[in-house]
Amino acid sequence: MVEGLITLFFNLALPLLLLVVGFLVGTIVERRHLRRIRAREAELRDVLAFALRRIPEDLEVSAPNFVAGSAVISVDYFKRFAASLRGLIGGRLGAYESLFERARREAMVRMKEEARRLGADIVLNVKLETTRIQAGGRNATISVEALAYGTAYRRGEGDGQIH
Amino acid sequence: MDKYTNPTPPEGISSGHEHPLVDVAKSSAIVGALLCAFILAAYYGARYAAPLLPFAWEKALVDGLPELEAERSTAQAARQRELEVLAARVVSVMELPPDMDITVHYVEDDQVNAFATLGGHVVVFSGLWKTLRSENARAMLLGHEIAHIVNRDPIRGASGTLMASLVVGVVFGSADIFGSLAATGSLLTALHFSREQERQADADAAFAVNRLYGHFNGATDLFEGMRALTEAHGEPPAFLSSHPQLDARIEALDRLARENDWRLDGEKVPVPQS
Repeated sequence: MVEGLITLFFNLALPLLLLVVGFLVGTIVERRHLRRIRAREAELRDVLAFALRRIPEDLEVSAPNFVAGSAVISVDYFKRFAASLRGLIGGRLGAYESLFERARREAMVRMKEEARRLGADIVLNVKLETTRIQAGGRNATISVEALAYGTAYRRGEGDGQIH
Repeated sequence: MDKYTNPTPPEGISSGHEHPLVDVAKSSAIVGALLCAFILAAYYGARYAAPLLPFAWEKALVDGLPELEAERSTAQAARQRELEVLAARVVSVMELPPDMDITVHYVEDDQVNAFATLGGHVVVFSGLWKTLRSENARAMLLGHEIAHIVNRDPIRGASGTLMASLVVGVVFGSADIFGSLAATGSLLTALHFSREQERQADADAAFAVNRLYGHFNGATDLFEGMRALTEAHGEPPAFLSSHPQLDARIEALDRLARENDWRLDGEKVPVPQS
């Protein structure tokens, strides 16, 4: 009887508890993170980012600087559960979409912060890469890394060297 | 106005199209439905396919499981002998497949119960055997249990449960085929058959009893006795918990007797007093 209850607890109640805690904490952390990202994005609006590979003819810029920003975000217990269910039936993996969005936006923000630190206000040839980090075997928690990088310039300081 | 700008994109392009809980609820419902479908398919598939297994395999499966035999006193050995003789006579009037054999076990226990299980084993508890005061009723009981084995009901029941639990095990990552197989041991004494299986076993037993004695008198004493016991104790005997619908079954047997013009006035064969 007691053994049965303990088994039941570990097999059912504990995962359920982890799910609830994972969901509540995960949701709070995610909301706060997105709020912070939005605020910093707004604050960095004057640092522009483009995927252009060449400097447009009409743009006068300073000497280039390589800038990069990366962010690693971990999945929570609830997201992993939601994703494992989705993994069985297919469809939009909503749980991971928000994870990658946060990682990508955070990486962009950090890249722009780096650009601003260097006195730049435009980043060209911006590239985004993501990596999945999964340490510790099959059931390990998944983290994602997003890396944003590009070439930063200061506008309006043409020295004729770049073109 | 600068021609180079980064307008702020609206939120929710890349994520957040659905609340996470709604998403989980939806996928749980789909996964749950699929799982149920798989379990049902495994259960009914196994029940359908199980009778195709040779009886020898079924016998081999139970051979490794705890022995049903018990130490018997001289009196009990006599009962066992009595049981074996009657079972052999009942078997002789039932159409058993050539590879099938029945092993009967007399168990000294007050339970008013008897059951058929895997490998052609029929277990009769003294608690039930002693309440049956005519050989005809005892033959009816044995005929009923033997009919279950002939109809492959135990292997159907066990396979269905086994396959369903295997599917659950595989899905939840705790597949333990040998564990499930060992659990079949505890299943041996707890097989429940469907109403249709019980009805069929009743009918098969009725034909056997009629063939054996040339009349049907006394056969339904088995169930009448159960009814008396239920009234006396206020609760039905163990036998009825796995054999419900007493009145309907007596009625079905009476109808069967009428339809086949079975004699109902034959002599009941008394059993040796103990």
